[in-house]
Amino acid sequence: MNPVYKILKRDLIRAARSGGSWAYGLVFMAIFLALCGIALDGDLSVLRVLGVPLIWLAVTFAALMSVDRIFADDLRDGTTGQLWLSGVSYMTQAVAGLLSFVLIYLLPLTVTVPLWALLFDLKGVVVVGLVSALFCALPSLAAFTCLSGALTGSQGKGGFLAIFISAPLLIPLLIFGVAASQAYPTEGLAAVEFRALIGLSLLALALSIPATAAALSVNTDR
Amino acid sequence: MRLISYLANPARFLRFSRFATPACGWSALALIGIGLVLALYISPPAIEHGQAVRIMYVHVPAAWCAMAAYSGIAIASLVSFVWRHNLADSVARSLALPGAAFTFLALVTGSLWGRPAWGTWWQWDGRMTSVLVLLFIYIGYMAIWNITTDRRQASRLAAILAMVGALNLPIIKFSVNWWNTLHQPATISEPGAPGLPTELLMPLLFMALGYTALLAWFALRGTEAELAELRKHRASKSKPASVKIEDVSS
Repeated sequence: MNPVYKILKRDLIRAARSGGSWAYGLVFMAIFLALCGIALDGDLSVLRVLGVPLIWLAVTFAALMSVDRIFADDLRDGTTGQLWLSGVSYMTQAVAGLLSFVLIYLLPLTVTVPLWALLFDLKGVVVVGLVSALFCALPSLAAFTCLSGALTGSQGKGGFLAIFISAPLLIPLLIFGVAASQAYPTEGLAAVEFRALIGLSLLALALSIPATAAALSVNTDR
Repeated sequence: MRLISYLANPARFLRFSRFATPACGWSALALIGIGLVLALYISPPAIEHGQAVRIMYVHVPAAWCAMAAYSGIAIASLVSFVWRHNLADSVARSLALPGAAFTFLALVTGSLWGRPAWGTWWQWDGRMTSVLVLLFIYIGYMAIWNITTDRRQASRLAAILAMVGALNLPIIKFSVNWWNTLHQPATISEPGAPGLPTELLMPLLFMALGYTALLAWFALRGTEAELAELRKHRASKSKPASVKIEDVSS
């Protein structure tokens, strides 16, 4: 069997048995959005305007909160090194880690967006735009968070630092993502912002996967 | 290039830095001194900015040096990552703190200048936002050095981060500029260097040279300190073990 598939299967089984730790990001997002609604006084005319940026922020934060789940366990108990010794390259491990991060942590956040949109009374078109922009941005969101997870993974207290490191890299994503979501109702998927987002995602993948592999190799090389 | 490979030897580097470090330090002091006198007393206030133009002499060189320091870090990181050279990551590490300080200085003086010139302390303008992001990248870079205990590991992780950050800086800058033009098209641009009259240009030039010398001093001094630290570490390691019979509990 393909090693990427094997690692992915292992991660999925582990997540299913973890007693719901994969859902922390979702819970965080729910709390964050509820707090936003309360802080803005539940005024729907304000919430309707702020809904899209707030949901983007919530997704970004929730992804950042899950950073230390990506490679940290494997790095600390030596699985990464063992896999490497049995012929699974760091590049493969980086790709597998990225895919399982997307499947376990990011996909639930994105799929539940229509539900969160109800809190902000967003229109159907706006929700479709938001979700499609999020899907275009998922690869680069995952790529940058994986990179910072791999950079800080072997350190016990790396979680907060990982947020520090990936936040600047996520700024273009946030800018283009919000712009694409807002351009969708008028221009549809042809909006230039969507192309920018996809380009950003491809670039992030090309840049981050080798960098993640390098970081994994540095962290196991003692 | 030949100079760099010549200096790559730590002993030769120390011989070079014994002269270069004080030279940079004193010339920084002298240049900044002259520059300050020129900037504060001799140069006239600008027509459209009034006395507030004097902030420029602190602000513009700080911004230049902030960028220069990051470029230095990126290049040194590449060298250290590819050739695994100790000196290169010492240089990168010692450039980080002055770089961050210059970035912070540029932001603070920019804010102080923005108040009289634009009537606001802060504007989400492309240039300001990207300098702020640069500050965050500096902080992340320094944090990864601090959090990783093994020095060799820290240097390689920090190098990866610095290189990814360097490749991303243009993207961040571009996106922020684009974002800015979407929301808020016109901001007052800074007085361009070619259009600057000589009596304003001279102090700026002195200050810029002085800042650059100061940055070089920080880099050289930091590298010397790292080398001394490494040597101390090595000396304490290579001492022969001395265990007496009485020390061993039976």
